[in-house]
Amino acid sequence: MKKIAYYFSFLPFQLNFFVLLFIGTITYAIIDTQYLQTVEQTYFILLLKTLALFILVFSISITGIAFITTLLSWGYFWVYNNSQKISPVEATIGEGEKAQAGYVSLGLKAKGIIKPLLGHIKGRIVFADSKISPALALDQPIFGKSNFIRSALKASRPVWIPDIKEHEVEIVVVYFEDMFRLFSFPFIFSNIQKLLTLPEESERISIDVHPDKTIEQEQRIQTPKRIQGELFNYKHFEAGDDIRRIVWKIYAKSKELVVRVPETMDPYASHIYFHPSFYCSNLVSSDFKSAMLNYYKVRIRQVYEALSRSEFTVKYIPDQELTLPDNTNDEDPAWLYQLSTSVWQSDKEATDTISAKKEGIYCISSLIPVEEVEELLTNKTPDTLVFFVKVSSMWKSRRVFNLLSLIIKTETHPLDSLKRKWIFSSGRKKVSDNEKKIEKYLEDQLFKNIII
Amino acid sequence: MIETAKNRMFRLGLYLIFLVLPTAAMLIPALSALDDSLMFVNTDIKTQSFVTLIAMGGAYICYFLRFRFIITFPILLFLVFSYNQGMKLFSSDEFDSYYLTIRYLHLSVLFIAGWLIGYGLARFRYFPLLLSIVVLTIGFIAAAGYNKDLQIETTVNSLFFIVLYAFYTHFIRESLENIELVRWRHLFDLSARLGVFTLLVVLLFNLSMYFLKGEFKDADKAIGEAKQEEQEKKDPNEENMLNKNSKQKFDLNQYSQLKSRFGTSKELLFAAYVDNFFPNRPDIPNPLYFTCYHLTKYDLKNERFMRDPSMPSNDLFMPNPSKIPHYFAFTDSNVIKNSKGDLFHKIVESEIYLAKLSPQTFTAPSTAFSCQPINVDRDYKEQYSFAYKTKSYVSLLNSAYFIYNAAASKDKTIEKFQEERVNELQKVKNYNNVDKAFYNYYTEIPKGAVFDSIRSLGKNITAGARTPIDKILKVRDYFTSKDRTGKPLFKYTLYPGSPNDPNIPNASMLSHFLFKNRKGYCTYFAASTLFMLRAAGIPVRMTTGFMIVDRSDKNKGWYFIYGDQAHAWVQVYFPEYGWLDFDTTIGNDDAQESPKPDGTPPMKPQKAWFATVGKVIETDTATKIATIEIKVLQLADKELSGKESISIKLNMKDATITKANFNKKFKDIKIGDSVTTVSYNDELRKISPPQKGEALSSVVKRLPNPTLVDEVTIKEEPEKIKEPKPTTTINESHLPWWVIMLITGGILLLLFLFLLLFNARIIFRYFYNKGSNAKNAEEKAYWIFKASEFIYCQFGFYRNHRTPLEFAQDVIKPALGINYEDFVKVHHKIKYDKLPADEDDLTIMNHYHQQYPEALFNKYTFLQRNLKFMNIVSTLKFFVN
Repeated sequence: MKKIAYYFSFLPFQLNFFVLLFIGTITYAIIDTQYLQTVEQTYFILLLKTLALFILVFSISITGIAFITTLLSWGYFWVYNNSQKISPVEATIGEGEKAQAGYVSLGLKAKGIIKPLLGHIKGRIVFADSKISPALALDQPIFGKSNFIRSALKASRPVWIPDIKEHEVEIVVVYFEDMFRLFSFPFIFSNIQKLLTLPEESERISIDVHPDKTIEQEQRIQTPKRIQGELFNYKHFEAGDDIRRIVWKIYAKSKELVVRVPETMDPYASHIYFHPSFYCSNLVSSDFKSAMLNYYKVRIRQVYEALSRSEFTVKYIPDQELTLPDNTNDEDPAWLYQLSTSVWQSDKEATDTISAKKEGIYCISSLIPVEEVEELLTNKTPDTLVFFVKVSSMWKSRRVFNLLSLIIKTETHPLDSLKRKWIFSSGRKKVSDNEKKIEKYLEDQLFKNIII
Repeated sequence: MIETAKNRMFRLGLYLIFLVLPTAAMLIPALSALDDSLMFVNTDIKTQSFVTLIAMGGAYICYFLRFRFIITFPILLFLVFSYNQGMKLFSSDEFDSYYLTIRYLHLSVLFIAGWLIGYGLARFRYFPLLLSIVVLTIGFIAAAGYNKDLQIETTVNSLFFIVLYAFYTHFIRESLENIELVRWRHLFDLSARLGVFTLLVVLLFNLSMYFLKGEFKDADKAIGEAKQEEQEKKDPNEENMLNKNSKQKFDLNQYSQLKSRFGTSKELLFAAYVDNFFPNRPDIPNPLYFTCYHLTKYDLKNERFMRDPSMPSNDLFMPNPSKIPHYFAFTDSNVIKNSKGDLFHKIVESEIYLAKLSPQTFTAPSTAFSCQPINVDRDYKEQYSFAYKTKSYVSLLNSAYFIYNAAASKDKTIEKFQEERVNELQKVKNYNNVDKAFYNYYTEIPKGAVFDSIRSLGKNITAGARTPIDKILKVRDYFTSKDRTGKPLFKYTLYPGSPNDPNIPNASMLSHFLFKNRKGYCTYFAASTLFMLRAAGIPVRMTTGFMIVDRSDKNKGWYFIYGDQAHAWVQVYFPEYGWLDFDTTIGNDDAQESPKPDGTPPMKPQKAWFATVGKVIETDTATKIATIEIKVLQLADKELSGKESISIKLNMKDATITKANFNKKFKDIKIGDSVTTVSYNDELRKISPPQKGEALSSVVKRLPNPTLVDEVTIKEEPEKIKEPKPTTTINESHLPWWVIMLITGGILLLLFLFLLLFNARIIFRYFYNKGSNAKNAEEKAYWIFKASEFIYCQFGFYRNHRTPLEFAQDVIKPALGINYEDFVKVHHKIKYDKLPADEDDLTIMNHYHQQYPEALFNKYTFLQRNLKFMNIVSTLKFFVN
């Protein structure tokens, strides 16, 4: 059905047109067979004929105007597009090219459009995974710098995009519709654009971390030659000071025994290596998997941000190979990109790679089998911090049934219906069992664990 | 995204304003049209509209806010139903209860209909389309059925709004659906769009109207023809104001007593002046019942009373007044002979002004023998559509003050009259000298048990009475008698018991009426009287028409007849005295009361001195003189006809010209039309009236040439209708619609081509001339710059992102060799540096201004140049950039 709707949307004639045509034909057929064949000229028939003729003339002229103006507007855009080197159409998400997943403001910008008389301009974005956005009405004018003539048209509409990933825009279609939406002339752009959805920011949590020697800071004090150093770098020698630190050069000049003050940073001050594991077994079906992946990413972000608020530099260690975009900056940190584009994996070697790292903070989901957890955490000290994200708790806030919905058709969250499915799915028990096992394992092995 | 409550309310507001209100605006006129047939519940259109609107709005809000229909609608139905039941329980008065229930039922039907419409609007996209189709169909059928006198254009106009509604809803829905987050600008946006849409629709509507004018005219003409044909096809006995479909069947469909309980017929049917006063008392009018038909026979097979055109001595005069030319009297003296009565007779003249009654219906006091259509005074034309004068051969003993209804007597004169009348009629002892066939026909009673019982009842009642009039009085007394408890035996009621009550009772219903419930209305009493008197050997027939009540205080002799005065009674034959009216219906006081005060009677039209009927053979639009061929004329009430037709010139300068009750102009009079003309000109009074046997030509010679006429009524020649339309009329009338469409298309195409060819030239000329005529240097520089920019762009030299100076140096100079650079420098100096232009600057400007078009145009051949000018893309590009 979706495919039919997709191809239907490229037809220049819309449903309204077919309805009008259908009614017109039926009416004509009825009038023709019942009345027009008769030679009798009663008031009824004459009135019918005249009225029908009048309606016909009016309808044809008004739809004709609608058709012509729409076609002209389409034609103008065609000419305009041909004269431009860069595509006049641009898809946007949020304010630019990335936004937090969920209800996202999906938009389009198009230049060089003259609207059809009383008509509408609409657009659709077709993604590489053949998902199609709903129609976006390009009805907001963008004005140029100092004049009142609009330079472009903009559309934006909140659209439910739950998947956190990089969406590849394959096609952008701009439709020119007449005032009655009888006709809709599409204009297709193959637009290679990438729109990124990020995990949602959730409420702040605070995590008390004491990383255990992730990297030992072995900063030797190397006194540079010929550099005297500032005075505050030195102190008088006291009993117990390392005699090797006495600066003999100063003693030679001033007969004072001074020692170089060592840099007093915590010898264990270190980075935090954060290892989220995207390992996933086939406990649940794919639609749950993708919903859970989104939830898991949101939780990871929450943890990561909590960690980075501590005094340590957190390093995100992905468990899969990801290509970073060319330009990453502070606003658009690499870890966020890496997190957003991560997918579930079932590659054991990746797990091995993580486990090879000696130190770090681990993050695991309910979908990882307990054996994998064991493997991951072998040879780790009991102090190792493990975040365990129970993905089954993603349903907690969702409602299965609303008493009010008996009387009012309540607007449901898209995840509500998935929860109803989840309740009756076989994966529910498997996941819950797995969670219990992991919990037990973590308890037994005395790992420091935080369950989210 | 879960919508915020505020936004939803805003959206709801928009939908209510732009969708629900227009729906109401479309429905309410339709409702008011229907209202006429729903008047009986006495809820005015305002209440009805209010209820519908509230229901529609309520339902829309309810379902817009996503309430479930399956829950809410049954609750609503339950509430409506239980309220109805509750009302029945608590109301004490039976009539009140009935009235309230009907009223409530009507309003609740409207409410539920409104609710369903609101639901449909809120939930179904194509509902407005469906709604408009339904309303259009109903409206069309109603219009085709009832408004036959309206011009087709008016009907089409009124029905077209329903079509427009369908377009409008489609348009507005498309606009509304694009709005998700409501902002103030949307309201302005929508209003502006609506404004443009309205303009477009008005334009197209007028254009369509204009182009189809010919079609409308043709249709109107054809309708006129069709109407005439229809009438000609009809059996002359079928001209029936009451039911056109029935054959010989009497069915008081529109103005029956049965419906009068609902008040449908509380409207004025006609006003009449009857010149009948009591002898020696010219101040007391003697009203007469107005007869329409006689029902003489009971059809046993179909169980109903029927009219019998072959009744012996048929004295029913039934012309079609609408077909008689104005001021020409149609007289049938046979009916006087057939009325079989000469004693105490006189001729009574009446004038009848028809309001709601069809002009095809003839009604007059019995026995009418002449009908002459007359004009209605201009001031009364709105109220009265038609008028005619009648003459009746009336018995002095006949009167609306029948012997039995003494209560109606207001004056001793009337009482005395009633006594005298009985005494006079006592002279009739038997029917021995009456024609046997006649007597047997009018005393016939069908065979059967029911009739036998009625017959024996009749005989019992009339036993002991010797003369016919005594027998009649016995029957009258029987109906007004009281039972053992002292209560009246018979009651007048509009609810005789049977739910499927026809207007005229059949035998079993009569039996039920006479022997069981004894409740009924006029036709029950009349039919019972008929059989009982026939049982007593008295010739009698049932008559239908209008009961006349004298309510006149100021205007003596004037009577106003309303719908509820439609009535049935009997006429009894007395040898030599003729047929006399007797009404045995009791206690029908309702009809005695006027539903509203009687109006002022219409002014009598001026005395017509001259009238003629003829065929138009020549018209002169400049002088408005028409020559017509006549065979008959009327001068000072004297009619004269000749065998050979003679032509006469008539001056129609000041005449009122009408055709089928519509005002027309002199130019609408076509050669070959049949016209009736009337003149009130006092000058004609002086001309001596025609003598008997005088030739038509000699009378015409006496008339002034041309004769001034005041009224002209056009009637088309009947022969012409059957002829195929001559080709000339097709040429005269408008072209077929597809030719018009083709021409319109052609004009549009030409317009488009014109724009394509000359658009750029015109724009350039405009800019260039602005430059030439600029008042100061600043303006001049601006316009010259603009013109140059435009023309370079039009000729394919796009500046794109270059500065004007770069453009001049890099593009214009090498390509065209025009020194644009200098001008640009001057322009920049004036524009940006705000320096006044010196002499040199002006010279440069003027030089450039004169030079560049020439230099540019000379570069290209004529064809190239024109092709460049036609490039609409470049033109658009200039304005886009």
